Amino acid sequence: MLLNHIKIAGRHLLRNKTYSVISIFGLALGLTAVFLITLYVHHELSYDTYHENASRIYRILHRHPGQAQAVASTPPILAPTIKQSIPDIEKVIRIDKSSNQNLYIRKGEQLILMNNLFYTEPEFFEIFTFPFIAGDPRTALASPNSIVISQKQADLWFPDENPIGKTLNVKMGPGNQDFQITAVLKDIPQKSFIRPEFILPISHILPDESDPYYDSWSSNNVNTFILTTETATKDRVAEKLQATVHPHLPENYQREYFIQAFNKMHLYSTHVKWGNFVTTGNIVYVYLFSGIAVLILLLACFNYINLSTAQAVARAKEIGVRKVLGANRKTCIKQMLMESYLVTVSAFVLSILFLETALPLMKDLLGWEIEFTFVENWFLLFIMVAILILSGFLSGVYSAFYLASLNPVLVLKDNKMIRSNSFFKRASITFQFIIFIALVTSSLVFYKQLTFARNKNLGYDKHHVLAVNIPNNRYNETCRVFRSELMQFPGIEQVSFTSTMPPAFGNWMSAKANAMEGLYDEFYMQNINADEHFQSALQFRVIQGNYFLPEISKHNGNDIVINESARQKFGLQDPIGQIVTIRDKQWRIIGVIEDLHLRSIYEQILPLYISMQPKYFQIAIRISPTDIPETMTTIQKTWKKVFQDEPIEYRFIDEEFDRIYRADARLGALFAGFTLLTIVLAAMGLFGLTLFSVKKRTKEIGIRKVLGGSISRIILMLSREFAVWVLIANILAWPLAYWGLNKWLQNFAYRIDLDWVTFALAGLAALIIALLTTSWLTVKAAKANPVEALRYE
Amino acid sequence: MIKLVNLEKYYANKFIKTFVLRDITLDIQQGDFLSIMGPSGAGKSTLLHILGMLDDMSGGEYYFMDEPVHKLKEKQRTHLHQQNIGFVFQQYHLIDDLTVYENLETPLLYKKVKTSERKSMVADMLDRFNIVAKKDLFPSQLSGGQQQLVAIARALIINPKLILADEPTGNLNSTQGEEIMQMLKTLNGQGTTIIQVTHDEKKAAYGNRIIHLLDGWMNNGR
Repeated sequence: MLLNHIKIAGRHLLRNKTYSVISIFGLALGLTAVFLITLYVHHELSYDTYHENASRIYRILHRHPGQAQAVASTPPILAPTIKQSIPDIEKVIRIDKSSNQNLYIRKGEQLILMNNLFYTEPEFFEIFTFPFIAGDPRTALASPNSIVISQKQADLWFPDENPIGKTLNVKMGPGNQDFQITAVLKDIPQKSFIRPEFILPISHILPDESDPYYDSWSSNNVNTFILTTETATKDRVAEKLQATVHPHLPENYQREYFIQAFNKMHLYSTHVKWGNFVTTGNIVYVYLFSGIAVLILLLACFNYINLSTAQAVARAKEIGVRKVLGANRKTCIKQMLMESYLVTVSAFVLSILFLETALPLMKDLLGWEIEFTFVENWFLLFIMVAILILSGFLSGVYSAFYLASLNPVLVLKDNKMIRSNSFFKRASITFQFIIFIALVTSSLVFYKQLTFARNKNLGYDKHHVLAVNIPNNRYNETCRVFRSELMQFPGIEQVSFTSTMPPAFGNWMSAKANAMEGLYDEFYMQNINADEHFQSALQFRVIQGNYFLPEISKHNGNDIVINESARQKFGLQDPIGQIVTIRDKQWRIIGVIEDLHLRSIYEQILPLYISMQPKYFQIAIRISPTDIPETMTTIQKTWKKVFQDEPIEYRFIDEEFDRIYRADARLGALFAGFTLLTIVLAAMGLFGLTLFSVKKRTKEIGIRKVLGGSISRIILMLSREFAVWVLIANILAWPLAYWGLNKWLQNFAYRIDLDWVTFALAGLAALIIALLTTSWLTVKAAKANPVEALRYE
Repeated sequence: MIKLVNLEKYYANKFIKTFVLRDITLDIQQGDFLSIMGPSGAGKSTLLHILGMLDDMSGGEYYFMDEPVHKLKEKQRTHLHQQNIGFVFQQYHLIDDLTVYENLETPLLYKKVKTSERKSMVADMLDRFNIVAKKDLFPSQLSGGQQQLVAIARALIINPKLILADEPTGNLNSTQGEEIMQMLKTLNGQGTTIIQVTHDEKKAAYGNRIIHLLDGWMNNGR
């Protein structure tokens, strides 16, 4: 019986090629998209699941009271403080990923950057599950010159030898130090928040007891992780943490300390602005794409349903005959479901082929780091088969029950019983077009916003500017030599020293402007230190007064330049020469500059003051746009001459900005892809519906033509039917898209306005695509010889 | 074999009942060859469908081999029909996607006959109707007469006690029609009860009993 059903289904599909190709192809496209999203969601959800203690590990965060943004960098003194006083904490460790200063391994003349270098304490290996290939976890970090490396690094440096006991010569600051390899880590799964390749004892970066920062609560530079006891609850630990920390905090430095579960770090960390080790995911995108997957699956299934009910006239007779021959309702339903499963399974096979093609493409386009093989991933395979079963059922169940419930007598007598369930059809088409229009609108808005972000005037010229790290963070005479050497070359327009280069996230100082009776309340400011050349390096505009003058002797250390936002906050009409108090210190304002987007346009521009204290960490170099390669060679040569074997670390700031928007650009590309897919699916669905309605109305068209209806009037009649539904879809889709997009745009402090043109454009696109899809069938039907049509009955 | 008592069929439409069959009382014996005659719309086909359990009755009683069909559930009725009744239609109603062989096989599949048994039953039937050479052809590749032959073979394959034929020769030319009627006559001679609906006096004469329907009334049933 089963074989018989498959045979018939197969023959039926072969006989109706248009129908079968559309069904299978459409479903395969839909399934491919759904599987891609499944892979993505699975990837995102499976971060850090391999740690045995995952459910008991927490990271400590803090924030300004009442603010959403949090910081993961904590003071080093935190760990010893809470370890002693909170019994719920079993273990506590400090970790730092080298962010301030890069270390290099010396290999002859070469310096090789140590990527993914972590500093931590021995108990690291007891909290996290990082298996060792060689070495003892308890003693691995005991000595200050010990180093733990990953299997990958071991293979790289000591391909044919036992690496244990071997040394690596590391350039640390201005000097060198030998580290002895004490252990080798098994390579760490990719889906990991912490992925060390080198681990050093944290003592190298902690202040010692004589250091004034040793017990400072306001110097945040390490991550603190805790392992709670089996019996501890999250709330209790959080409460005790706050209670323990609070008395230690300085009067004018209030922070709210709290904890974040380790297994939420990957997806729930968008509010953590400082101290993340890696770029994190975003749970909103996981939900967003899951939602899109469900929609696409529905769209694809609706298509199949529409197409298969379009075939119902032909199938109904067969079902009628089968019932006469002794089939009951159940066997008929089984048969029809079998048929939809045949289609679904074919689509599934095809979609696996698509997936094989699409996956490398996704890796290239979107930077997805998703590896996938069926053999290893039985769980994913299981999910995919579950989706297959579900979609086969969704697709088949409607026509199965519909056809199986037909009365055989009436079906065999004439075809009157085959009413179109027009409500379902229209609803499904409308639904498809709602999704279609919403996605097209979103894609357009994404594109516009990203273009806006890329091209927005930042207040300065971000092109042809290099940011170079000052070696070992030490600004000194050598740096000034470097500047004067460099300035002699024609390709170099300006060289300036500064604490901070845009786009900066890491090292902002926040300072409190003291309240001034009757004028303003206290507020937070950002501070950068920069020399007198900073303005001509970045090329921003001075609104009032002037920037620091080249004749540096004219300034004393108390002169500052503020931005326009700061001027407004201070409430000063004519601020030049005014004295303000920031961080309890008196400053004299000498100039006001335009507001600069020193960070991405996600963020509001904050009040800023630029001071001249020589705490510089970066060199800004503006080069002329002509012959950039030659200029770069010059810079490198000069660097070598002045700084000798210090490695040069530089980046172009416009590229850095692009990097910030890359996640959004990817999201945009992904959306565009899914939009294209929905367009194809909706077109297919409409094609199916038109096929059905033309078939159903063949006789009517014939009669109309006999009665003198012109071809154009008949085409109009056939087209009007769905045009109305596309319009209704527009009306329903617009508010939906408006709501969603408005929400998305809230992410950006600076954003485009939603205008009706975009919405209208998407609606028009829908209408045009609908017309194009259907015209082929309607024109054919309208041109057909009416005699043929009437003989058909 | 079949006993109808005051059988009624009507379609209720808000306030009006449209009667198709009224007060039909009829006895059909095993081995009868009954012809139902009457003009279009007289209710002939409806009566046939009710006898074949494809359609419900609105009132009255129907006993099929002493089983009260009007009281049976759908499943039991399907079973009764599956085991005992073969259908032949004017439009043949073969399944287009199936070959001759598969068309013959289908009723056996629903009866859950074993594969080996099924093969020999289909082979027998092909042999008996002399259509072995055509077993792999699709209905569209056969003439009307041949299609009807296959349809009768298909109706017979379950070895039914009753064959219901709805204008079996209506779409055939006279020679083909004669052959089909001869075939039914022979089957009747072998003991199968046959009920046919027909317009044609000549075709009706093949039967041993004729009833006439007019506007749902049966006027000369005995």
